[in-house]
Amino acid sequence: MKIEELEKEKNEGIENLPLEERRNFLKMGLAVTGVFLGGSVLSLTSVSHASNQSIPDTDIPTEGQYPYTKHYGMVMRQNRCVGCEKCVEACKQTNHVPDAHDAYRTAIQERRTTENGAEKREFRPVLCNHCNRPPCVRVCPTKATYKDPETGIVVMDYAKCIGCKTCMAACPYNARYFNAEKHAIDKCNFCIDTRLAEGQTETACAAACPARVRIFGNLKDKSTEIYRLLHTGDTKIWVLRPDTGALPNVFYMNA
Amino acid sequence: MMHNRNKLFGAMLLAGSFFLTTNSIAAETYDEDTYGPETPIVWENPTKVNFSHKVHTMDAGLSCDSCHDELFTMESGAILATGEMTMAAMTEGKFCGSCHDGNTAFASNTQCVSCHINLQEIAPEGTIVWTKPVKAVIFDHKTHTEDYGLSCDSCHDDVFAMQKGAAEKAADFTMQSLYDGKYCGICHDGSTAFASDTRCNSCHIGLKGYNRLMGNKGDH
Amino acid sequence: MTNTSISAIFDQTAEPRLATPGLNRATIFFLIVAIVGLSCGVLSFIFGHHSIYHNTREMPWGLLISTYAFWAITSTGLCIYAAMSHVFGGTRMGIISNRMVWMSIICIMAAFATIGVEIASPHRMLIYNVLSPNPTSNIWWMGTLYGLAVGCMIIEFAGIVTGLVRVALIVGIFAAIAEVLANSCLGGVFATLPARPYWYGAQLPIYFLTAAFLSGAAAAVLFNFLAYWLRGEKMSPTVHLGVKSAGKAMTLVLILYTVATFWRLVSFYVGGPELGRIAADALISGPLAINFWVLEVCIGLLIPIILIILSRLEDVGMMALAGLLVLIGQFVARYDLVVAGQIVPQNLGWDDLPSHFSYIPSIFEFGVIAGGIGVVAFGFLIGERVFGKTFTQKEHH
Repeated sequence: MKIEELEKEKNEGIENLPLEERRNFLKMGLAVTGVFLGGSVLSLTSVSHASNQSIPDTDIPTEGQYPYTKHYGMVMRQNRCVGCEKCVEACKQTNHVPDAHDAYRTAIQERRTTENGAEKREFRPVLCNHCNRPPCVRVCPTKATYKDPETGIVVMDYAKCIGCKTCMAACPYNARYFNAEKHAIDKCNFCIDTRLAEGQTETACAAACPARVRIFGNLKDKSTEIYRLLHTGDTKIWVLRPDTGALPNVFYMNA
Repeated sequence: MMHNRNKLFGAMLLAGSFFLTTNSIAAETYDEDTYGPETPIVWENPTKVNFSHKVHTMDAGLSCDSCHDELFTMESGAILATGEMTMAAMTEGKFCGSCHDGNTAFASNTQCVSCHINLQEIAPEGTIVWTKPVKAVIFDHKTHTEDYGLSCDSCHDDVFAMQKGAAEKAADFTMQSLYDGKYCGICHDGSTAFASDTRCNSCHIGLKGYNRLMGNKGDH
Repeated sequence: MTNTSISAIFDQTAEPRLATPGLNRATIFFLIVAIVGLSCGVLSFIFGHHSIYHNTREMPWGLLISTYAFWAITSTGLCIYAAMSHVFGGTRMGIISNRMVWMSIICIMAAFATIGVEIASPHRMLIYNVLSPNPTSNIWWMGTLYGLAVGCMIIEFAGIVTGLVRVALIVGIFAAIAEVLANSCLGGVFATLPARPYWYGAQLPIYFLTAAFLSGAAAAVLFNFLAYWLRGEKMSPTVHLGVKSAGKAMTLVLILYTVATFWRLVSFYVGGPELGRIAADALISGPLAINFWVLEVCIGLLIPIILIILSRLEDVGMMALAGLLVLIGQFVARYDLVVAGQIVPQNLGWDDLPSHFSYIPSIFEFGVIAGGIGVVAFGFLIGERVFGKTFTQKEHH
């Protein structure tokens, strides 16, 4: 191989690859990087390019780079959140979350600061980020938690959960809790069994939000509101803890 | 020499001013027999209220029998003992309301401070907390009256009934109504005060804020 | 070489001299401690782990996981030293290696007992570790490899007892390899979690292996001292040399481990994620400071070094004391490591969270810890009683 000649070659990029090939490549990237430490392998492959991590300030994948057939995600329009927690209540009702102190699938975090002598409040909705490279899925010894092959939703197979709590330690988002009733770890699953399975297009939390903070949808479908929010306009979009390299599918913006 | 001249000038000024003052008092002497007790009546219940005979008799020209004894017995404190003298009764045309109806004199639900000398006495000192349609929204009277100089009738009773929880009962007490220029939206439109669709969390304190305010421990 | 009669084997291995009333009472006492202590853990299956243990959503792991790691690490160390002595025959630790194999088995049993009551549904583990294995999971590899290691060690020990030296040797090598890999995966469980900067990084698995060499040597010195103390005998010169070698290894690794600990903590203060630095603060000046400075550093590292220097590697009693202190220090070090990794709220800055969560283990957690110590003490005494002669044989090959 002559390096001089190779250097003259134009980078093919991945834009021109067929969708199927790209998806397989992304999945391969997931599997490979899953085994090794952190993102050292990732930085050598095109996966990092695919996730746009190489470009600072954009933590969102660009068009066509969603590995799942129905690639579900959520946009949080954070500044619209008024902390009423109707989402939390709706989630508890819909998904039978036990009434325990630390049992919740979604939560509203609050930050109070003082600005010019006046108290300033901020609310931030959080739930499972359904990461493209989920640390919880990698560490589970029995595959009790896994990516749903069609939607990319991180789901639980409660019967397989041994309760080692490694997924709880691995999650950068504190999205998991021990469900004493199920005797297994429980987490948000975008209402895949309670609402999506019945043909509804929104999660319980998104439907309950009076301020339309949570926009849920299929990132693969260009007609969805979530796609429009992520791919048009120049509003700053961010994700939580991008440093962990988990490639989350929950995006935040002020809009 | 200069010194003495100044002294003289000062003394003359002083004498002149004395003459003027005494003269003006002498021009209109308050007669308690004609005009009623000179000291304003102060009711302590249910809130502190001030009533001046002078304003009504000497200034407005009412006679004693305009009010006594049909509307008010002349016995001190007797009317209070009945417990009937409320703002609601006045709205129905009783007591002060027989004149303060908006025609003869200003309506009883306006110009609160004219009689309620201490505004804080009637405006709830604590923060108003609405829990419907969402938990929770706060309103602080003090900020709006003292800091921004609004008077009671800026909002009462046209925009908000002066009754606890009244707004919450209305089906249209929503953000959309505010955007349509109702309720808070009358002023919070982006020109008079910050627009209702901005700075959400100035008023919205969330469930966590609500629990903190109510002294409950939040659930996490 | 094969003996057909089991009683004949035990006749050869047993140490009837140790069947004294005092030792019998001690053995029964530690058996009771083991049963009562582990019963505290069994209660969690009745009343729920969440109500028996003080772990939370934010800090899912606590004293039980750290104690599991401590015993597993000690087991690895003992197994490696034993295998090295067996393989390279000539090392002076060969003479004490049979006891090390036995104690390695006992330590891993204590580890299994501890994690067995920590895991919410161990029965599902037995089924789905086999039916639904996840090859990317460190936990899966760790469990599988430790299982493999304990199986190999039992065969190895059976070989030693029955005189099947060759089998013992070969299987012993497999056991040691499995133990090293399992230990490495145990380190990997923590080291591969980017969500926890205090754990994340390539140093940790090596750190765990270093800890294994340290704890293993300390345990070897301590248990050999105790074995001769029980018998009221002086060590033979060869055994003394063996213990001295273990002491030397302990000294060397003590220095390595101290250096590794130093740089590990320094690394959090020269940059990197804020969460890692705040976690390190917990040890340096925060809620884990007494644990760290007094128990980990002074009792676990500095005093043992001084004691070893004073003993000139001759005074076995003083070396054994150093070994005991090292083990105490290592026990606390595992606790601090597990707790510090989770002690900083991941969403610090929100919800008025403190910079460090508070975690105090429950009485039941301490009960399980006592149970684990009971298992090891009981196992040690039973081992000396039943296989005592095997442990004191001049050379087994």
